[in-house]
Amino acid sequence: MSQSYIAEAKKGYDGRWVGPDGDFLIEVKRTNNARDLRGALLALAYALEKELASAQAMLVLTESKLSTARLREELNQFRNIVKDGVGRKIHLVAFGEEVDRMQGVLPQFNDDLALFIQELVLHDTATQGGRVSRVFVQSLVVDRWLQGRPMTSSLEVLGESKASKPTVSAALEHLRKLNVIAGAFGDFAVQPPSWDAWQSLALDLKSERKAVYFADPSGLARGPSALLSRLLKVMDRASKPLDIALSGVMAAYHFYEHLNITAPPRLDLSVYDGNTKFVRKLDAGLVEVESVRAHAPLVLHLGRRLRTPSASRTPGVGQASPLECLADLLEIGLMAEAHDFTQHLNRTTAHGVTFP
Amino acid sequence: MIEPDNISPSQVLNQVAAALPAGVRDNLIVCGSLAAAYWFFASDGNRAIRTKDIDGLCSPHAKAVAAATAITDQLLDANWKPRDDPRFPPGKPGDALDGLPMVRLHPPEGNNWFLELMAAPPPYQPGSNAKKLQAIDTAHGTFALCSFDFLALAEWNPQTTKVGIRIARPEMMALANMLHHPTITDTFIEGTSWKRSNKDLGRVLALAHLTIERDRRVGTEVLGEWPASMWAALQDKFGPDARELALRAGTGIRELMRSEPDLNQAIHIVNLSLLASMDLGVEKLSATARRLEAEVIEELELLAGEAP
Repeated sequence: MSQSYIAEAKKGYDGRWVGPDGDFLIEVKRTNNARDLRGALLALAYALEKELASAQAMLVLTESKLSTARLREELNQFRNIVKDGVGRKIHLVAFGEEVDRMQGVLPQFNDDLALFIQELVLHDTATQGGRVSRVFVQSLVVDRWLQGRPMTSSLEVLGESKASKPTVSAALEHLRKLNVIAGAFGDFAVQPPSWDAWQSLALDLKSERKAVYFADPSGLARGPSALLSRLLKVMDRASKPLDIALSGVMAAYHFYEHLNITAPPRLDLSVYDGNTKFVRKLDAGLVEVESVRAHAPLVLHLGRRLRTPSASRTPGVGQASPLECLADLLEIGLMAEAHDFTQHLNRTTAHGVTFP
Repeated sequence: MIEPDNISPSQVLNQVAAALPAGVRDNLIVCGSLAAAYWFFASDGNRAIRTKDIDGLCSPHAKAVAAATAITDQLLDANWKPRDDPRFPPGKPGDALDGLPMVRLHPPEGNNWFLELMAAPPPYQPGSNAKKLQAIDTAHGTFALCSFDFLALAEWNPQTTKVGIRIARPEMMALANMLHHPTITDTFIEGTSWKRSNKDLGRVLALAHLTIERDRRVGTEVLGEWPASMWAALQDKFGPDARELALRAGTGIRELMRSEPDLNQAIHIVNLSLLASMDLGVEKLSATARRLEAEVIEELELLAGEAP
């Protein structure tokens, strides 16, 4: 439905699907917690009160371990305690690990609604539901240092990251433990991370992003360079700019041209708005796979943008942060190369060379 | 090692070239599976295909009858043999067209394959029967020469081979097949349960697959050049009808992609012919079909859509 949209943050729901028989207000929530679930159902009930009678609402749980039976029980309890006119219009589903597997209590469902939900879930994953996390804040501090614009106070971090005070405190505390920052409370200086600290930072970032793997069942995959060439064309012709950046080995080359990797094994792209539809234009032969063991010529990393796009040497697509590249190198298993990369980052940053 | 039922594209093309009258060699364009096999496998002496018929298009339309007559006479004089078909006895001038035998000639050495002559079609008339027959009177009897509207595409920029015969371009054969089958129909290939549309649309997938395979091997993006060639050929051959044809070219392939049994049959057939020895499964050719749709059909539609 072209009129469907992702809602503004101040609304009591994440998206509105405009259907032929009435709208659906949709809230996406990542939780295993019954209290969160009940709160979200209640918030949807309030939101529905302001809508036309034909409107319905749906709570979509992601990464939830709550069973189908439990969901049914929770929804029944909820419907018993709210007005019938409202309760019966609120639905609950769980969005499983397999993208299109939905479990729970399903209202009348169609492909268009399912696709919209999928888009909302990806968007929620990419933006962590609008929350600014501790990992994002610590990554931001390191990335600003790499760009030659180090932050020096918790107030600055608070202003730059838009995170809550406890989140900023937790991030700085974590960086202090890793010996990445030093200094008196409130003010600090960033210092070159140790190899262990780099790994910890990269693994934290990796765990927060969602990796989407694409394999080529025909055995005729394009190489990473050919995929990148096509990506530039796809970006040129896209009606709406793609919010993506080059990551992995290919972006690491940009920051360290002597990186000792003969050929990139795959194309890694950071995707910041959760939109993966461009992959069909990039190479329609590719299919999303669950198994990371399958050879994936293309891997998308859905997450929050660490750095604003900058003028880059690669026309059309900018580079992700070196920290994102490092996370990808580690995921590929290029440990020695990743270590060499971090040494280069430390060495050159210490000499005033930056990685914009 | 070539199996008995398989034929070597280079050898067969050589044999046809050597047997043709010199004066009409330029009037023959080989199309179909032999042309495709030569295009993709000529440099690989071990690659073979399974096919019975070698399609030769007599071109241009104005010279098709004369060229076909000369070729038929010379080959029959050189001990080539008409293919036996009890339903179509040798014809004589004045016989009804639909009772005449086609020009299908086996080489003197055996019955493994035959050369079938066809004619380049007359100017396109939308709505007319796509298949047209005309008689040719030779010294050995009267035959029917068949033409199909979209075979005109085989005449577009064919490649001249080392042996002097021209072969149709893969993308032109693919487009001709796509246009010939805008939908999957229940017309069966005689003596089989194979739908004609599945065979021909499966051929389109095979041509795309072989093109992609070569692209990856040598680092080219030839498949990406198909839409521009197709659009140029459509404009050249079909003038004012080019746009409408380009916009409907993908309907048959899309229908095939949606129909599992038809797709399975198309893949089965193509594995027995052009892709013999590759044994590609549904998953692989589905990936090819998706690439064909996104990189060729949609791009062709875009070119046509932008045309004034």
